[in-house]
Amino acid sequence: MNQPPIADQARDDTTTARCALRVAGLKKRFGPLEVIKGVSFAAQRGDVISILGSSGSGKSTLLRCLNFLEEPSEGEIWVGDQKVKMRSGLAGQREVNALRCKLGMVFQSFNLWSHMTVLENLVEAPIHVRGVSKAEARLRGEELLAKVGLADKRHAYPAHLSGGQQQRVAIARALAMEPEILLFDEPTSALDPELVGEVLKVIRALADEGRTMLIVTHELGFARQVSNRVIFLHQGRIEEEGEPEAIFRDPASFRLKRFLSAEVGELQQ
Amino acid sequence: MIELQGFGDQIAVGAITTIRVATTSLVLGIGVGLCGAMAKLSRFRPLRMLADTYTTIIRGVPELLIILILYFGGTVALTTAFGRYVEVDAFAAGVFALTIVFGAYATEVFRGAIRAVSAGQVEAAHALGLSKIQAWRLVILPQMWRHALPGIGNLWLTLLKDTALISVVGLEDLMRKAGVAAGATHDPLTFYTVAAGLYLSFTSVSLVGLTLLERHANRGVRVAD
Amino acid sequence: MEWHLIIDVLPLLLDGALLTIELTATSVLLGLVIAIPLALMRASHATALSRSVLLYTFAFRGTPLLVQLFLIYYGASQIEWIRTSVAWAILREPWWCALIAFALNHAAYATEILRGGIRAVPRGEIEAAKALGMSYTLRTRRIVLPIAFRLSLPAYANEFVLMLKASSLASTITMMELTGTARKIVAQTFSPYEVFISAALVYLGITFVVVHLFGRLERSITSHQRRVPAENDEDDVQSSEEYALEKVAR
Repeated sequence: MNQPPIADQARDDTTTARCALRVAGLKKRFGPLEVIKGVSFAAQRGDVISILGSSGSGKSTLLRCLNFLEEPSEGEIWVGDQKVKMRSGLAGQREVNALRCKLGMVFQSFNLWSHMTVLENLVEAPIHVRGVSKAEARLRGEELLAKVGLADKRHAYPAHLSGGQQQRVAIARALAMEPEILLFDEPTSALDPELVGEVLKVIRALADEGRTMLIVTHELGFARQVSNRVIFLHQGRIEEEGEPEAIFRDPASFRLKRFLSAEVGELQQ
Repeated sequence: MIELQGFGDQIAVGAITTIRVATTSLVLGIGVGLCGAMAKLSRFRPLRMLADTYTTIIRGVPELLIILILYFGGTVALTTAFGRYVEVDAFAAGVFALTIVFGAYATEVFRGAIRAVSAGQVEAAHALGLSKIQAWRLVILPQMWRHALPGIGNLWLTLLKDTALISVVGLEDLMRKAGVAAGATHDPLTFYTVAAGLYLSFTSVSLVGLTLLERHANRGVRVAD
Repeated sequence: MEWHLIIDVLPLLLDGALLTIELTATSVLLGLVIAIPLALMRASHATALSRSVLLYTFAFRGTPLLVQLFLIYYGASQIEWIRTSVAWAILREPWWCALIAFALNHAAYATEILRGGIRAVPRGEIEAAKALGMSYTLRTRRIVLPIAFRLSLPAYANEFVLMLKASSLASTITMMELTGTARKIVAQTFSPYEVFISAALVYLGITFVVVHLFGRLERSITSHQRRVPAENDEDDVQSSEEYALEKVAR
């Protein structure tokens, strides 16, 4: 069930205008080990794409290549209709920083800055990277906190919050930069089971708003409900891709069948 | 080749004196440190307080001052005792001072190291019928060294450098010999650089030796990656 | 031994004590300023950068401070172009020589301590800063260094105390700080025990205050980490006071 080659789609102007993210022939090597062996896909505006795969499949690495936390070895990336140029040196670094402003990332281990309060975490990047005024940043920050249900925790330190609360703050922090695309790297994998729900609720709300999101997750039920496309990665390649209902009910590839039954089997234990 | 203008032999003699002071203080200081550690771990409260006072005082007073107290104070004490002017030997005063200083810091190292030997080992020793002294000698002390080595190694390096302070009270060590040569030739740069180089080589050799010792002491121990 | 002399001498040592504090504080400040960029270089992944700073810290931590002091104080006068330049006005004065030697020495130790702190900054927090578009300068200034400082504080407090004690070496180049003043008085009164013990008491007093201040600084700076302890929580986090009192030498 492979998509038609991306290159063909590129010529259609209307398609590219709605295209939020496009990846072509992405490869990533760590020394002799090739973790991503040629991945191509496109995300339209408003797409919520779940990326599934077993450990070692390269799904986290794929996400991290998009915002250059890992530098891709080969391939091309378009954000919006702008191709990401890979230059070296200072100019390259500025390009990367500008790119990162458009892509918000939420990490598995939240990664809130421990020496700052919740609100300070939220306003830091807008003030210092986007040049937003302190007052405006604070206002926006408080709005976002209210949105994720943590308005009363604005002066708390991350260490005083539960995992679920920290992750919600992390989501708000990513939103504060008003990114075009949100990247979630296993957002609930580090959470205690009872805290997963509150985070998934926030993510679902964001999806309902029509945001473009890429979610690497193990939460199959959630992926099925929230996404409009699923990509199954196996050993650095897209093994299968399509709509969630089709994929989950009737997986075409043997490996995906095996993956799904293993995950479901774990849940049933 | 660096032009030592005939002072090379003297510098070598000074270097040897430095090593002698350092090694003597090391041996004595380890002894003091072990005693201090045992005092701090004893059940006898006055002993613990004595050890605490000792370490707190020594760690708050400059080594140079301690050397001066023991040298000049010692001279006064001996002169009064003997009725005529007796000067304390700079070597003795220096070793005494450095031993006291080393011992104070070593007390803390050994105390931590002894406590680090797992209690289970000690229990096993007692359960096997070893007496307290035997347990100490055969189980605790050998294993304690592994934990103490990094700390003692650091102290040794500091000790090597602190020996230079004894030159202030006239000990004919590397520092003093360099100073004499520098004064005679009006060439402080050369001679102090040579001295620095020698100290650096002592330090480097020590570091290599310590690494080897640590590796040997840690054989058979799985270190967390 | 005349006990009252110990007390009598204290006021005479006051000026010396002030100079000791002044010298220590200035050296530490200057040393720290030098150490920050050096620590960043030392912690970087570029081995050339890291190794060249390592050369510096190795040299200054591997040789006695006394040698470094004498090299600067006595050695400077030997170099022709220093003697004939504007630098001579500075390098002729014992105060400046001591300051330079102490600052360079302190910087070497501070660099290594700070480097440890920088490398201990949780990688995830740095990645989050990157992901939000923060440049190297920005995230170093706002994230890496603040966290690194907090982590380095206990070890650094210990280093401060060691610098305080090392300041006594200034007495060997004619400076009348605490030890120098004490020696002068001893020469006049022939009572080495009383005078030196008095000086030792002053050092102890200053040390005590410094350790206490660092303890307070650390408590205020790490309030963000102190959770409300659970019942079975073991408080085994060491404050800088405890660290300084417990820590063994460099």
